Amino acid sequence: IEMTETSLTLEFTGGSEFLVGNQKIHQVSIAGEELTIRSVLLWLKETLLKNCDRIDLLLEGEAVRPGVLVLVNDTDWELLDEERTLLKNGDRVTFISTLHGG
Amino acid sequence: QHESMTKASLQCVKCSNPSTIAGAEGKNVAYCDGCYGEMLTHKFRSALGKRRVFKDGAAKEALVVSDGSSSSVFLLGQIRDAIQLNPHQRLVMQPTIVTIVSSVTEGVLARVAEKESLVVHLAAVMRPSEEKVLDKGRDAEEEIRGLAQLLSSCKSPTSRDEITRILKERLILRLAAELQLSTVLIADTADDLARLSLSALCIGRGGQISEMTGGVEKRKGLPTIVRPLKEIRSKEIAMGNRMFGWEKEVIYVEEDEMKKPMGYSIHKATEDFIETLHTEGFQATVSTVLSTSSKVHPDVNPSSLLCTLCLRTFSKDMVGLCPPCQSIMDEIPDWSGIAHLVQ
Repeated sequence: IEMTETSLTLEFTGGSEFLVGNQKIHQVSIAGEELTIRSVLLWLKETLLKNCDRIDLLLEGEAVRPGVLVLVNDTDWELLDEERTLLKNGDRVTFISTLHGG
Repeated sequence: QHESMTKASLQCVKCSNPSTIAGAEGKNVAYCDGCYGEMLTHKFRSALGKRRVFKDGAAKEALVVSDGSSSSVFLLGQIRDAIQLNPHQRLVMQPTIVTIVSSVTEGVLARVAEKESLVVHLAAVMRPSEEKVLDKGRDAEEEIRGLAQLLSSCKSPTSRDEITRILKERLILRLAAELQLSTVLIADTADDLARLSLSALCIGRGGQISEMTGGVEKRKGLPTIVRPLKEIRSKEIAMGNRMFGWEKEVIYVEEDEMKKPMGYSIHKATEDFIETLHTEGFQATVSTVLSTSSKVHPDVNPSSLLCTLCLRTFSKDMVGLCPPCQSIMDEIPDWSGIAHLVQ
């Protein structure tokens, strides 16, 4: 059976890049139908953040931690559907931590 | 346009472009990138302008304190832009920028000193009063170890975070004195000050919060502290830095400190508390806390003494250390390293 895969660019900034190997941009391919930001978060827990000991700086349970901003194609997710925002091939999801630095 | 744009306010409130960023109060006020940037710059300029910080014959020279954080970067960027405008509009100010490093991780001070001209480690505040904090110092690493030891000896994460905060304030005042500057700009944001208000209340500093969070703080015999980012939220700082291309200036040390268990202090708890309230939809939390803080005043008069550690008034009859500072000092077994600060 062919599983639908969605190619996305994930961007981590504001200090969150340290949770993903100090790398700001990740090109990923995530399996699943009707991919939402929530699906991406769950995927992150299983992959990029799997062995991360400070995952709490980005995620709180299955949600984004308060103080972390999310953009989809440079648009504030608050103006979209937040976690329920549907993603399509080629979308760029940006996570900006406002929590630390300095 | 994105397919799932179903929410209200699809249009920028300033122009007819589609909105891309929700305002700090919630999605009912949203902006396009350009108008958002303009809004932030306007907030900054009017914060300085309305408080007449550099007007009415006031001195133009000021100390600007940075700690490499995103709010510091935003402050510096705004100042630089404002100074470079045309003669009619520009901000007339001569800033001396000092970067304060608080990280006790080896090598961080050296790394920052490569990028910035005037760099001071928080540990320098422990030098005797006759010594200058801006001097290189005999042994930087040993000084830092001395600070690290003091902090790790604190009996609780709260006293550790609180003494760190107080020492930074004292260092800033020492810097201003050494540079003979009577005005200091610091990068405290609305979120920082709301957190500070609640933490301060928790440890008994209720009477001091209006001064500690004020846009302009004047104390007799001390430099004026200005907080131009007081009405700016951390989300606005993060988005602003991104929009103006200033993100790369932010200095991170979390990658090193992230692994260390920091301990849960009052300061961390209030941070979580406020952030969670905002996420749960209580968008006015920060602004409400701040407007309330500005109204809480201690029962003091002009002749009330300043606490010898935090250098603020507390009550009419207080002498020496104010009760919250006394509690903090009680949690430090050996405070000989900072004894000179409380003489």
